[in-house]
Amino acid sequence: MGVPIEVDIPCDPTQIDHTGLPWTFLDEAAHPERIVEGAIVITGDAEDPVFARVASLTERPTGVKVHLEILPGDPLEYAEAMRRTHLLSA
Amino acid sequence: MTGEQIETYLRSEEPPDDALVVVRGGPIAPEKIVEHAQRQAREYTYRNAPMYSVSVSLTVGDWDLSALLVGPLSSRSTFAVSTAGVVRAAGFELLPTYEAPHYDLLLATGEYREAEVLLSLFGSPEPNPYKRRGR
Repeated sequence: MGVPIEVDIPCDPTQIDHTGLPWTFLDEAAHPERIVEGAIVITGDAEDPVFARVASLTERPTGVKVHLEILPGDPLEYAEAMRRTHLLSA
Repeated sequence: MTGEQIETYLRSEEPPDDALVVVRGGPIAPEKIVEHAQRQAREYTYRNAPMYSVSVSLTVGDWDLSALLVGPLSSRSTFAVSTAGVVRAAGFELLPTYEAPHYDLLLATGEYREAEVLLSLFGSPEPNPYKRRGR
């Protein structure tokens, strides 16, 4: 039994707005302090996680809106590449 | 009411009854519909009321199912399909929002029971053969 996946900030990658980017709210993040512009985060949900870059944070009347740029590839592909190249132990 | 009016972002488009409506996975589950609909209602209004909706993609214009799966749904592992006619006959409204093929599928309450009814209109989840595997 592995450790449960905890995404940095949940979102629906298909829930876009006028920017064409998916978005969510900062207060949904597990650790909001990690969600800064340019940060690489895991988003989506635990069952179908994806990598994203935080594109922007915008103050809205209803909270801080976070736009995300979904990155290509499956997170496990990144992990595999890092293992293969010994990037984590370098 | 503090949300932004979605009317600003509507296209003038009426999808035909046989247009495919595609929802997305990971889990295609009522809990996720509720979560996403409530997030949308926190930010947007429609007809001056909170807008409970989920994003869906439709086969409109030049968009066929493969194009949807390799495009807007490329990060999703699974998908499920219904049609515009079936969804509308059950009382759900489809709003053409932002750029095609994006639509918002409106829910009245965004509550669990309504999400269950909505998902009963869709076929079984299928794996997305085009899930993005890097470029």
